[in-house]
Amino acid sequence: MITTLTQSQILGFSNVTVRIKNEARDSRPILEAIGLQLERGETLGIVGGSGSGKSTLLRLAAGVLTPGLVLDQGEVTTVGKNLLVATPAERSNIYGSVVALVAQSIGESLTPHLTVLSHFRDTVSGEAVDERVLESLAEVGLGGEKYLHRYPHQLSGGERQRVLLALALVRSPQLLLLDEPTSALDVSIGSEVLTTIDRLQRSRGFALVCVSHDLGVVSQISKRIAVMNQGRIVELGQTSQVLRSPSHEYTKALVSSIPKLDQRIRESSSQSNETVLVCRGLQIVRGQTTRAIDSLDLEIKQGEVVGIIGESGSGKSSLLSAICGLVSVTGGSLHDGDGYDLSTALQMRPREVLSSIQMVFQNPDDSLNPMRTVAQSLSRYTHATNSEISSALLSVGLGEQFLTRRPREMSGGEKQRAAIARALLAEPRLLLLDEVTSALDVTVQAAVMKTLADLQRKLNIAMIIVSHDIALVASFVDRILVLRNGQLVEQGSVDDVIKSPRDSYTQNLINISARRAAI
Amino acid sequence: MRRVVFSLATFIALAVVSFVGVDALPGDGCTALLGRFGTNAKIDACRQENNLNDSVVVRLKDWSGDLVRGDLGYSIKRDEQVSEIIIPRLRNTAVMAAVAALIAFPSAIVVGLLLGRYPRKRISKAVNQFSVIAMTLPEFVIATVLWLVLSIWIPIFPGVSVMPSNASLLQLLPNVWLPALTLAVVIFAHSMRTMRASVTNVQNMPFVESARLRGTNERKMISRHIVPAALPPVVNVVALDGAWLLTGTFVTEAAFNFQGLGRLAIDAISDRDTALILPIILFGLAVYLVSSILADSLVRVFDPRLRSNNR
Repeated sequence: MITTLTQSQILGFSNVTVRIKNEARDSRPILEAIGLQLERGETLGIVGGSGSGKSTLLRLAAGVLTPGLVLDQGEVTTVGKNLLVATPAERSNIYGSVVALVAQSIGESLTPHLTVLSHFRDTVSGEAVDERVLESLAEVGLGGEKYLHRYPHQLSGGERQRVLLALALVRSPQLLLLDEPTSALDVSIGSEVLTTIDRLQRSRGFALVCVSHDLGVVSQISKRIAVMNQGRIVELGQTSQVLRSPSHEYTKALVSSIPKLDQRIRESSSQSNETVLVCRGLQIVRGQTTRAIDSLDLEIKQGEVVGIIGESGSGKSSLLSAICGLVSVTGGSLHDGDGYDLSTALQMRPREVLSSIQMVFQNPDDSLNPMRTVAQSLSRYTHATNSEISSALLSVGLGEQFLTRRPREMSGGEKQRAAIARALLAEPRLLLLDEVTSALDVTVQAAVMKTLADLQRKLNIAMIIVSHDIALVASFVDRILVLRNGQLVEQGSVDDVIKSPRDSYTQNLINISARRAAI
Repeated sequence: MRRVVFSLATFIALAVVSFVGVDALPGDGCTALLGRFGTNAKIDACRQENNLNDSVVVRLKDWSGDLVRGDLGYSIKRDEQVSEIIIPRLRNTAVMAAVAALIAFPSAIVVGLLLGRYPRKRISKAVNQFSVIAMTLPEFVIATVLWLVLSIWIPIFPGVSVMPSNASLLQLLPNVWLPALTLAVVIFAHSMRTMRASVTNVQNMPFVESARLRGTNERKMISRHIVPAALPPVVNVVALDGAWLLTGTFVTEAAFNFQGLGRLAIDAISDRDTALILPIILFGLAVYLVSSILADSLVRVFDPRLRSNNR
């Protein structure tokens, strides 16, 4: 089947199916029967969970098929050409000038040994290169000559993403493809980058396809949205319509899973007067002089849930690491409820203290041993019996069949549940949760948070949850702390902080979140 | 800078250890000179004459003092200044090493780049496998094969060098080829394999795809993105191999009777000519220390991240 694009169309997928090479025909394809057209100057957002095929689709639009995959049927037409069969020379003529793709891994997408200017010189030649480059950088919000001679490692994440954008747009392509443009950035910086993309799209009029796991991100910069699940486009329509009245089950789940500032997923539980953690004037110095945490006072009661909000470098992870003994305390005091001094090194802590504080880490792939079954991982150090392990697994929503599974046979959400079950087996009084859902899809995140809420009510343990997502934290905790550059800039009950934030930074985070929720 | 000071300290420490170590070996210049015909009285007289009866500390002081003034010492056995023995042979080895390096390194980098670009092609895998053989074969086997082919079957080069150690460059050159080729085979295999693996690795990095998707043409891709990122591991291997060319060529020089430093070292050891052994050991030390400093500074040129860490 051959599709002919009309003059006004810039990208067309017709009945595209992509499979894993040499895999049986009845297995689920990576992409299945994708049909999609994009008009010139149009904006399209593609949203979906991990493994939904959204990145494969985006790369296919640029004529790149990930090694190991084959195009089973269908045709992709980009600006009137089938890029999959184009020669390298033809491609290098098209890339950058007609089609540009900004890949997901912004940390590794710039060549480490070349300056910003050198990157531009690859594709920009002729007279007044420097002027053109300066203009291009200014357009993405990087004004001034100082950026020209910087190396990638001298740029922040947001600056790198802006440089990549400028590089993609410097030769005015007609189609810009963005893969997760904000997933590696802090919320406020990601939001600024999106504003820049939106402004450029409006002024230049290029067509835009943006892929993200975050419905909020795509809805901010695209008029139409395609929702993908398991290799299929399950819903496609105007952004406002898809968000307001989603028709497909998956879309409904996706929309309802987004944490909202004014929606509780956990009721406050009864707190006793017993404290589980006290710190006074806490100071943590990392590296030579960097103050990760500076004079922090914090007290946590039995059964209380505290949320800590902050961007990368705010010190939130250092604080958790210090509490569980992975980072040493350099000043002030840090004690548990029984008055035990937690500034003691991890190796010196007695067993009861060790088991009373448990931490669940951000990425379950790194915290579960890939060689061990779940039962082996969970019985190590806890010495739990099989029946204890099964009941712990059951409490986090995993059946008995998971006892013998290894991490590679489990999804991200299942792995994180297993990691939570392991922490619970130690019967902690304080559970530390470090961005535990940020590696998970939003629907999975909602389910894991619900499980945590149930556990908290049942066991009445104190929790500290650290996250960059203020809405997620607000929906779950009793009290919010906002950290910035190691300083506590705001703290109070959820209502106080959300309704009347005193700090401008908190205000900004709330605004971004509210905008997302209002979509 | 700190690196240079540290290397210098390492050199001095190892020099002292070498001196004491060599001194602890049975035998000295006098027993070497007089051999088994030396009576105790003759040996004693000889030692007296050459101050060998002084304590280790005193001799170490004298020796290092001479060394600082540029006096490498005196070989009792050969009745000659050590520098006069070593320098011509050092020149011979250096010429041989230079020829081997010029043959092997540039071609290894080019071939490694070509093969690394297409790691899945049959030729790429075949050459890679073949280079394993070249690496694992002992040098005397390579030497024998080259000698058979290039000296006996096709008589281009002299099979055994018959020249005095202080021959002129013109006399030296024909004798250099076979040993240099033997060494070139080994170091070519090393550096080519490193380059191939490094290029294959770099090619799969996101920044290469990113540059390609910006429309960078293949020529610039290779010269600006791939090669500079692929070179650092190769620089380290080249430095090690380069140092080995100057200091580790005993077998090859012996195989072709080439009058170089390696050959001299073997003779000095079998003669127990301690005065001659020590400077050769120190030269080897210095070569390795200098080459690793050079390699590190060269890697810095390719990687700006290392430069900024040094600030």
